[in-house]
Amino acid sequence: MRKFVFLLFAALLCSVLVFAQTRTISGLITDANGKAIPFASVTVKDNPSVGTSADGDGKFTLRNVPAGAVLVITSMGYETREITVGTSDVLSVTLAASQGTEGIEVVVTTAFNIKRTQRNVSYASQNISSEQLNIIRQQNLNASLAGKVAGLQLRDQSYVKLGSNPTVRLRGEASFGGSTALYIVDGTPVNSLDINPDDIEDVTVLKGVTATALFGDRASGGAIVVNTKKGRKRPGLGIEINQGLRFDRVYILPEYQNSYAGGASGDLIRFDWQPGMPVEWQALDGKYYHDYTDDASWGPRMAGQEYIPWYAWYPGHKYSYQTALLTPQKDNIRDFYSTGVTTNNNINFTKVGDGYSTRLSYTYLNIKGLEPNSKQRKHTLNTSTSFDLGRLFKISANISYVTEDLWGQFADGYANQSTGSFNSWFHRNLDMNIIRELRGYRAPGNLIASWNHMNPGAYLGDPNSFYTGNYWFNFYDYFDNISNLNRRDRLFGDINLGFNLDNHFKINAIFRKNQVTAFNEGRSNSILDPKSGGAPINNINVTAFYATSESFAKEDNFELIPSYSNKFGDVTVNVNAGAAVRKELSKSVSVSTNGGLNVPDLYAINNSVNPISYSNGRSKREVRSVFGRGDIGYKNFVFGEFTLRNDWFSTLPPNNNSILYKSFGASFIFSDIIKNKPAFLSYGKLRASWGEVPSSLGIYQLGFNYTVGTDLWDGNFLMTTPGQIQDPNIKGAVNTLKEVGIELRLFKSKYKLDVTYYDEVRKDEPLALPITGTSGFTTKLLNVGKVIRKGIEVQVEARVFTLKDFQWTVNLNYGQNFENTVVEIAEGVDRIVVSSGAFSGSSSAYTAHFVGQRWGQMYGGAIKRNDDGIPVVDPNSGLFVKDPDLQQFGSVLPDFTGGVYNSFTYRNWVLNVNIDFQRGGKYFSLSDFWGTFSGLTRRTAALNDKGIPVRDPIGNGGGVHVVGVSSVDEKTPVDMYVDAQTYFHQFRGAFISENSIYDLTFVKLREVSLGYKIPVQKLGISKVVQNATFSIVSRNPWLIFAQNRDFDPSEISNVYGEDSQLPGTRSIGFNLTVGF
Amino acid sequence: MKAQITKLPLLILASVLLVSGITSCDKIRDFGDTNVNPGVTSEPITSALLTNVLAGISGYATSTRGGAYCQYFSETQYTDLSTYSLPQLEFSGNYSGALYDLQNIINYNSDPATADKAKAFGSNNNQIAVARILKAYIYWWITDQWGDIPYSEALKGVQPKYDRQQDIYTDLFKELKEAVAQFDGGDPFKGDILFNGDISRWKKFANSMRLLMALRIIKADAGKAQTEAVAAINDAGGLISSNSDNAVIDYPGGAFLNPWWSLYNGRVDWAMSDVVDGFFDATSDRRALAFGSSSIGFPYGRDRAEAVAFFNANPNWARILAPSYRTEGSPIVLLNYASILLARAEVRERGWITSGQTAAELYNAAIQASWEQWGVFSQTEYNNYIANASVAYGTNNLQKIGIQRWLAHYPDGSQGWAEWRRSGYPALSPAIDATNASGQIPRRYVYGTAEYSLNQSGVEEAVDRLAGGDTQDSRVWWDKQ
Repeated sequence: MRKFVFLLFAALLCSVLVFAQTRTISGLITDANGKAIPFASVTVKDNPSVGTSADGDGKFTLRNVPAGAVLVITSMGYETREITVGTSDVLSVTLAASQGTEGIEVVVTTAFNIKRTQRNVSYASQNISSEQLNIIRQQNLNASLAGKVAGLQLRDQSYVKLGSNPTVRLRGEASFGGSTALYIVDGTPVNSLDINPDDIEDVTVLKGVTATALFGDRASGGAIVVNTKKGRKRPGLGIEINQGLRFDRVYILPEYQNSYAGGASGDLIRFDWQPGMPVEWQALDGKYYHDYTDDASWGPRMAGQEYIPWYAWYPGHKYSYQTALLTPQKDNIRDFYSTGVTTNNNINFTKVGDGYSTRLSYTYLNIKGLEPNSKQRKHTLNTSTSFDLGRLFKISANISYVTEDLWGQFADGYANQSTGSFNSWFHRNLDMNIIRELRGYRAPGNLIASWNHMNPGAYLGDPNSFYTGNYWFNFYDYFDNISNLNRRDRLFGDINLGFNLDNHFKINAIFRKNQVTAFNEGRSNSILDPKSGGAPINNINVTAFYATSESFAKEDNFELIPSYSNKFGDVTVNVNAGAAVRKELSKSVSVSTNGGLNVPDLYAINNSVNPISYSNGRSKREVRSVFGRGDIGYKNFVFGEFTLRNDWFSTLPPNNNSILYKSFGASFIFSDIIKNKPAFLSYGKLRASWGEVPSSLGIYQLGFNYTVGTDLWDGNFLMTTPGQIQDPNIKGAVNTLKEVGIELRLFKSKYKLDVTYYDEVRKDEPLALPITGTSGFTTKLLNVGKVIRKGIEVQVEARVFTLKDFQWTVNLNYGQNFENTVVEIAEGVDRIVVSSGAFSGSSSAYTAHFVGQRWGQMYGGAIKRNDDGIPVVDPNSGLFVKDPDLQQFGSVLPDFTGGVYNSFTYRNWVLNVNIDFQRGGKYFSLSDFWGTFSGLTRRTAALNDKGIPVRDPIGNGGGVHVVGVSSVDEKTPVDMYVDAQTYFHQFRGAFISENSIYDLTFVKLREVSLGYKIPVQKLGISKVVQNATFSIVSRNPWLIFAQNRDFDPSEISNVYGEDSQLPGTRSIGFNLTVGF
Repeated sequence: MKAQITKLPLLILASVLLVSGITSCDKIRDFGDTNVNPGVTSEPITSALLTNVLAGISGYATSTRGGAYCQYFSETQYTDLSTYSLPQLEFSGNYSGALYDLQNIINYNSDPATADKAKAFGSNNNQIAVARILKAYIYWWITDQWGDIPYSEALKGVQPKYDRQQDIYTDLFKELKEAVAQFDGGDPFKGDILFNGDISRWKKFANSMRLLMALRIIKADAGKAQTEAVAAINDAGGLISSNSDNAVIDYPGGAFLNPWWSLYNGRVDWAMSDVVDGFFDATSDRRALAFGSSSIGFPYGRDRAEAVAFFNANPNWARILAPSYRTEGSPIVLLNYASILLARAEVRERGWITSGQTAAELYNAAIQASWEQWGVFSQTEYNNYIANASVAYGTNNLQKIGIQRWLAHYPDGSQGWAEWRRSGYPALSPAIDATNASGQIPRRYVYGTAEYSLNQSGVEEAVDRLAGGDTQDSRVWWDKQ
């Protein structure tokens, strides 16, 4: 390492000693749209040894230019230009696109913001342009990547859940814990949530470790590298306005049964008025009601008969003491959600002049959510500016400031009070419009009326416990009486000071920052916490509270990077070296009341009934690095490259905290040397690479530390022994990858094909391995395991029609993970449970890694089957026997993912259609599990094989038909009918989860936009308006295929599945872009 | 030339920065205290570990599941548990939590490198003895629920084997005996929120536990039962000999809330059962004033529709304990005088001890002690009660002792369930709407899924020893037919 750096400096000194001449010319090279062209070559015509390359931003500085010289500017895909140097030292060059066969150079941004061309990199990289990314303006970057990157799986979230950040999985999983990609904006590591799609110029997705080797430990799950828009030359004022408006409605909901009403009792219950009950109830005497207390739907058949609805018992509103007809309410849950309204407004200014370029952009995103009182407001200010300071220095800065306020509770855990009950516990006969009408209605005793109150007999015990809900409030009243605000302010960006020593040598010093401050304020109003004699009067676990927290986190990166590039005859050389320091710091304080509020509705911490809860968090981390990288090219068709980086981590054991890792690659443009190249072959490249990327430990994972409890017991403090032990030899590790690929462009680059095969091994990952608690500890930190993954990625781009008035382009992305196997875990360990949901100790299913199996097996309780696969049934009860061993149901990882993106242009019209798909992968649905237990799902009200409803008495031909073998001998056939409720309850009783496990397979029309370019010339407004486009856009218009359409399989919230999935939505909207 | 001059200092600066950064590799790897968590300490305070264990110890005496199995309690709507859905439960949290805290106390006081430091919180012997007694209490609870469990190799940082329950009982007897003998005259253990440093009460607690444990194995190993019971009774440290000796966790309220209070702070899923109520109705037991909030015992083991119907028709159904017994600061009894008197009555009845108070005297004293414990003693009503044919000592004595043990342990369902399993008293009928295949009251917990994941060989070896496999119908070693 040391030797290498010295050699580099020797080279540096040599180059400086070359004598300088008199003129230095600098400039910017752009295309016809004013967009910078990177890496154009600039040479003096008469003396090719005086030459340089423009940088990734299209800027160049060329020294030693003789007076009156002619500069030759060339770039692949553009017409070559010759410019005679005049009096100005600053040039602004526009290149026209050529009709060449290879197309323009695609730029790949790699670590430390070093830019390369796709032609000479040795690994797979995929570049997505802003147009393709923003077919419709998604609310965040990740959502807009779906279907556009080979090997990418988007694990999206429901649009109901505002502010959520969907996760991206590249090439399956290599880490036991699952890994996330590293997000880089203009070289700065940031959180993906706050990358504003309006400011993105393009995105490069780097999937394999050879591509990410220089990014360091956080890129082992791949890197998503974003270049923001920079100043560009635009005609007119350089102002652009983007306005979007979108409406979202609930789309995907489970199919419910619509035959039976709520309650635990299958019959209507006769009401007999008794003394002590309100006299008004006499009007209901002799009428019938269904059981309100139980929140399931095992109630009476809904046949339009007269009954007493839940609200009839409450005085003083227009439905008091009146019966209604018991009819299905098949859209009651859909009716709960309102229309979400999203507006997105962006205005940006850009200007480029001699020696500077600048862009300033402001975006305001405003979402009114689909849940009551939920909203999100986000402001993003982004600017990027660069100046030439004299001829030697250049300074540039990219700064983003984001501030977001998010209101609402977006609970998708089991049995939350907000909307989580809908698919687990609900009454199918509820008219949501009446629930909404009674929003704000107060029952006697100032109680919130509820559909789930007690049956009328309870009134005689305590009227309050009758009037209040048993388990649930009126959902609207719940939302009206909670408040949850999350505020986040983020600042990120960089300042980069560049120093050009000569035509070949420069040094950049860069400071990068990503800083976030946040606070949260939440409360539940006292009305949600009704008490009688100090004790709660219902089963609703809501305690009035006030809570607040504040946090601060920052990451600073300092980088010093000398670069050298030169051309020696046919050989080009680029070398970078450098040193970097990364410093992270975070602080947080959170505090909340406990046990209720002394003074009702006084939301102050000091108003806590019990001692308050509080915590503070502090953490630091530092990583120091030196690195070098270089590439060499011969005649622009053979390339070799390497990277070498050494990191020292504060989080690793001090005596062993250094990790050295490297990568090598080569690529070869074989189409350039084939003598009789077939006419159809425009371009052909082979590439191969090998690389490593390290994994380190988290902050404060080392050591054996005791935590002191917050509260004292009669003056005695409490302390707990930590649950984690560690291997004294714990160390960092590297994972290695081999990758080969081929790129072909055919028929004048009309068709492009890129195929990559990868083979990755991850070994000795430092992991807190779960161990049996009987050892005294719950986890052991050690280096474990081996995971391999192999797969293929294919990208196809076809310009199917390129007629004057009509163009049709198809992009296809496909990624298949042939193998993603857990080869070993640790000695004597054959599985690790990594993820489980609510009821994890009992009914739920788990995700676990098994040695020898594909990563992330879904496993859980199953029906016992005999050797022929026939279910084993208890012959007396007709209930299934549970297999004593939990069963595997398959991996949670899909077999393949992909997308097809079509773009049609006809004159001024552009139609973009993005379809993405996924095959395989499993999930467990707790909503389905409980919805079946509660009689909500369709199958609980199906007809049996005799055509009789399963809920009818067995004596009348009802019941669920059960066929199996007797548990006595596992041979004798059993064929009988089982009472529906008993049948559907058994899965919860015996913890059999197999009926609620589904495939993640889907095909989805995710994005559609139809745009019209307003002919500003024809309309005669071109003096004011440079361009204008109006589009109609839609998000998630059509879930074309899914194995189980009850849930959107692309929006499953957790690794194992979902606990209480919020519904999928679809939208229609408009977008207007105007340039002035 | 001018350009050359301007770039030179910068070049030098850059190279100095870089080279100095890389060459001083010792500095580059030194991060000082960057990775030292400022919010924690690497030094344990043993008294704080003890307080932590004791703050959670009442969990073992307040199990609603055990209470549902021995029919103290009914569920009011979702009756899965009391109609015997699969009791597949993890025990590992007891080990990594309280048991290791106690083991850590023992280790810290035994290791010569740390023993001196540990003395600041009580003499080494006193700390170790207390930790051993509490370990025994917790292990006793775990093995009674599951049967064979990790023991001899547990708490050592490695995957342990499962020991036979018989061997565990043998060792627990030894541990209790040795612990009682280990106390010395040094400083008592600080942080003792159970006995406030009163060593004599720790000895009584240990001997009393030993006596109850001895009786529990009577069907499996009568000889050992007798030896240990007699030894416990005769130990110089004595037994719990009055209600003021009871092992009681006094909740301070505020941050630490009585678990029964917490049970009703949010939901009302649990009730006193009609089975308990049935005993009261038959005998005018004054404990009726304390055991439930009303005299409307909730029907036991019914399906949901029936439970809901009862709930609605009887809004004042009996909550577990009258409200004054489950305030935020109400105490929780781990072991009481009444149950020890009943154990002594049984020992006397069986003739293992033939002198001292008679079985009838001990039995009657036990009932009085229990009434006094609950503050409901009234001489007249007590006289009537013990004269009742189903209570009066003289016939079916073991049954009567069994029923009184069941009442005396209320609401400690784990003890109630274990005593019912070993004695068969009181005679309990399974839930009418039982959903399990056998339809019988569970006789053990099933090993948790985490054990199958994390200690498969261990758990499978234990399962091989279970006659009926790892089911709730299999019996633990001492639970003989």
